[in-house]
Amino acid sequence: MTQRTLLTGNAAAAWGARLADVDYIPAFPITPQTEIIELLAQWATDGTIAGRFVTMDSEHSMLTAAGAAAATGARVFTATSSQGLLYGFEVLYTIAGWRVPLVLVNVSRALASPITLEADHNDILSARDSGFLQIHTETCQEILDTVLMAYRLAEDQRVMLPVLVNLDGFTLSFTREPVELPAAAAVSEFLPPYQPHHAFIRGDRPMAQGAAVLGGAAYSYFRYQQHLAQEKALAVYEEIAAEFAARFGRYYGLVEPFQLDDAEYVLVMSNAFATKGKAMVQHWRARGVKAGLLRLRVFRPFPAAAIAAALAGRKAVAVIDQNLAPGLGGITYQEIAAALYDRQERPPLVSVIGGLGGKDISQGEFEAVLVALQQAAAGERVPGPWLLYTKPEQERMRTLLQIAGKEVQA
Amino acid sequence: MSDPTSPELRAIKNLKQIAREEFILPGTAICGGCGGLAALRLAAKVLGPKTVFVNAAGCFTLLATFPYTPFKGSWLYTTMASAAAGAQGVRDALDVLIARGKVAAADDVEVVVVAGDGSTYDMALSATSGAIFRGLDFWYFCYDNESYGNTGMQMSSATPYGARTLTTPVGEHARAGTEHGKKDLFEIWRAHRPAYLATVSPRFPIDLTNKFLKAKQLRGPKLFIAHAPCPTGWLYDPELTADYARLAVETGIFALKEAVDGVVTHTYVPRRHRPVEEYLRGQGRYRHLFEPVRNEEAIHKIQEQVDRYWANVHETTGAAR
Amino acid sequence: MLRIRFHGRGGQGMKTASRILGSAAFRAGFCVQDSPVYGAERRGAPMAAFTRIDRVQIRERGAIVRPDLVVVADDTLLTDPAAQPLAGCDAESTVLVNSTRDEAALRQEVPAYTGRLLTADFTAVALATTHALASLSTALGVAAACLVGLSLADSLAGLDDELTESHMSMAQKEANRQLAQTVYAQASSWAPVREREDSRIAETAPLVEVTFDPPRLAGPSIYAVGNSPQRRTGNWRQFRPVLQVERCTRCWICFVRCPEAAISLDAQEYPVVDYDECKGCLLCVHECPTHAFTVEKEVR
Repeated sequence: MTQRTLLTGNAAAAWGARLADVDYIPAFPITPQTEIIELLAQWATDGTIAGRFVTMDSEHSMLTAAGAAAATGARVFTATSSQGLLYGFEVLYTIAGWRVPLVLVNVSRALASPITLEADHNDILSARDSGFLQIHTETCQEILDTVLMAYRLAEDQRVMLPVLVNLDGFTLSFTREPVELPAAAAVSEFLPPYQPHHAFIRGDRPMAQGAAVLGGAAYSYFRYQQHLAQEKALAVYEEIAAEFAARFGRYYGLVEPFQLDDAEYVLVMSNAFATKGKAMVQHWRARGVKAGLLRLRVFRPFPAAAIAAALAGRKAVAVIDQNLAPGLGGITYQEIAAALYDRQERPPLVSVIGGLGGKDISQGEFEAVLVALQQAAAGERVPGPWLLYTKPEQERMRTLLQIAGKEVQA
Repeated sequence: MSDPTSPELRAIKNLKQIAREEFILPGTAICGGCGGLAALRLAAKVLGPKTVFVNAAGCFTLLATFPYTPFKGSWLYTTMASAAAGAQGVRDALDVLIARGKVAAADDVEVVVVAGDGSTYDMALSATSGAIFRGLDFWYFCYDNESYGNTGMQMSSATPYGARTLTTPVGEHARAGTEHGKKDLFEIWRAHRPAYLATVSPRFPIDLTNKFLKAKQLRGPKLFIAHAPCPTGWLYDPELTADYARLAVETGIFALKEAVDGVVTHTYVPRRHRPVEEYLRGQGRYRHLFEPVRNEEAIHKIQEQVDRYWANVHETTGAAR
Repeated sequence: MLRIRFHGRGGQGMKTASRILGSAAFRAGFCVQDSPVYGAERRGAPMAAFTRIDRVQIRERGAIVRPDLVVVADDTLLTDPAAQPLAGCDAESTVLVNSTRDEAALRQEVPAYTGRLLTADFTAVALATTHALASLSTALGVAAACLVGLSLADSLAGLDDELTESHMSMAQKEANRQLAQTVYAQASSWAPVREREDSRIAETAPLVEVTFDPPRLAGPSIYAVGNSPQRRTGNWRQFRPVLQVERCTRCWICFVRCPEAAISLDAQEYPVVDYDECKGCLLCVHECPTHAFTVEKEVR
């Protein structure tokens, strides 16, 4: 029976694993992911879930165990964050190369150094070329629903790749929201048990997995197959999303258009801060500004066509990247610019960096972005990447530098 | 864990009790005369066909080179640092799948990590420590060729004092080549109190077979360090692999021993050890100790280490010298 | 440009031979490139090495597809499907084979080949001078240097550059220098390899579109377990162990110690060597307590 309750983002992720009836959860704690594995540990210990929970010795080991269990034929869930994702990084490519399904939740947290706790997306985006699919979420409900959809996607014979589901640390991980818990019976109809047809370890069906290949021709074939499967995943995802909506009444597209129909000025955002962007759009609309927002959700495979269709013909578009590739700029900006390159009506793009390390994006900063959008629409060049940073923040920073014994010009 | 009363698990007494069936077939990319493969082949005869070898990067990664595999059982290549974690994933998954009725109990397999010393002694140490700590029911087979052999013979922490490698060359500042002593992995592993721990040599096949038979009756971590003479890296003719394996034991450089729940027994103690020089001489990796001028100090140091080890063994076991 | 391709087995020294040639040409003032390619296979497995020599900067990389000169370390490689030493050779190529057999005998094995075929028993020469099989690299490297028209002085200089980096004893180094002079004199009787005027790009294969395959195909997994004997590593072998049955006591030692599982036991418990697979490490020969194995040089 459907049930409505208050859940944190972390609890929603754990509930996703619980409702997916996973067989195995190898874990390793890292802030801000811990609540996910604590809940699953409790449920595994008291028999609420049938799956086995094991605390590993590192994320590298955790991801190896997760992938190996999936290669054995189990449905596997695990979660990490930030440094943990990077510590296990090579294993991401390994698991994708094995072509086995699992769902890995990443709770975004900015990367050291300097070590910090709050969210930005350099961690998850570092994995964009690993072969994992990636889905970024905005609400606690969406986290739970996405975990369920992710298993369907990962285990589909046309895809058969692991999936990363992203949620923002603190802003979602520790934030409670009302969440509708789907009935277990309905979930098991939507998501039947995993039946491995190609990768298993068992005495009656021996096979070798992850064999070395020699020569670029064999390597090219296998690596390119990951790309072809990701391309297929776009259509498979749409099928799954439609079925999920039919069963549970909630629809999640590849991207989420928000008040986009007649929008002239568009913000492109992802994850939890998209909520702030949506509020601003409504605020601007009330002022008579035709604003809209495009939220990036499925990030791998990259839905270039959907993005280009949503953005073509707008007066100006600001891509707000909560990440930074030093020496280049915003990561999603680059990909969106590429998606628009062959469109006739490509809008001027403004590259904005905001929310690094969980820094707030205030209303005033959004207003500045709107001004920049209007300038860009009028043909003015807005140089990027443009870091959103307020005067009080800068003053506070100078004080901190002084306290740290540094020479700061008055 | 197998039934200890089963006749095929009784200790063997002669070579002709070794299984004739092969579980690792020929045709691999491994060097001719590989001591590690000789040991693994014998181990596989005890482990049987219902086995998955979980591999870390090293020479043996080339055993299964697409589209060929020599194994009658299964294989999974993981990473260099986390084969034991891979074993954990496989073991746990099988336990759960069997418990949930998704895999028949009869289709269970022995989970065996196969890794070289480079992985085992260095970057995989913590992942393996974790698996032993968790009491994982698995096997670990370390073929110890005392170097990063797959990359061409560079120093690992298993490289013994006095051996020349490509990253511990002989020179003004290092007359002996490798100046560090070999890490004592046996003792590091033993500190975890695994169910079973042993050293094995391909030249002592009855000892090797019996250790695997004994371990088969135990549940928990079953860990093996196999002396793996390496003609390519140690620079000797491949036909001499068994000779060097024998000399390592007869000089006392490589002790054949086991530890059940942490209690050590030496399974073969030569009445009189041959001088270490007989083992060192002839291996290209030690040539600099003998020519152009004899490095008496280094040779003496190696002999002394061996003597000290065995003096301690005799002292603690009270065995006659 | 001159393109020289060396074929050997891991451990036969063909990488060194390619470097001796490269160093010699470099000493003579040419632009040079040399590189080995290995599969992941080891000591004993077929491998190749490449040396390019030109007067101007070399704008090629990787494998040599159309060689001017091919040097083959032993005649068992000639028809080896993994090595394919004659691939890309034509009427203008020169192939130099280290063999005890003469040209006519070798031509019978490769009837399709129409270019020049030179043969000599470099192993015998090398063993006579240095008593070390490893010096085959010196012999073939210097023979190639002579064939491409480099002087004896440059060839010796190239050899010295390589010897400096080796861990050979002084006596062995000197023996290798002597061997080089012997081989150079012998190779001088052959007409040098001429540079091709034609430098057209090798024929291109048609391109295809790689399309989606289901996961059973699309990962590096293997369902045909135990299929490695199809590789037939018997072609690694330069010497074969041959059982003299009358001396065999059926003690099982060779069977137990063979690292490769290339020895099985027949119904009477006599060892049977699987020559399709045996890599020729000769451990069985060395270990046999009754010396029941003899060693024969491979002729394929």
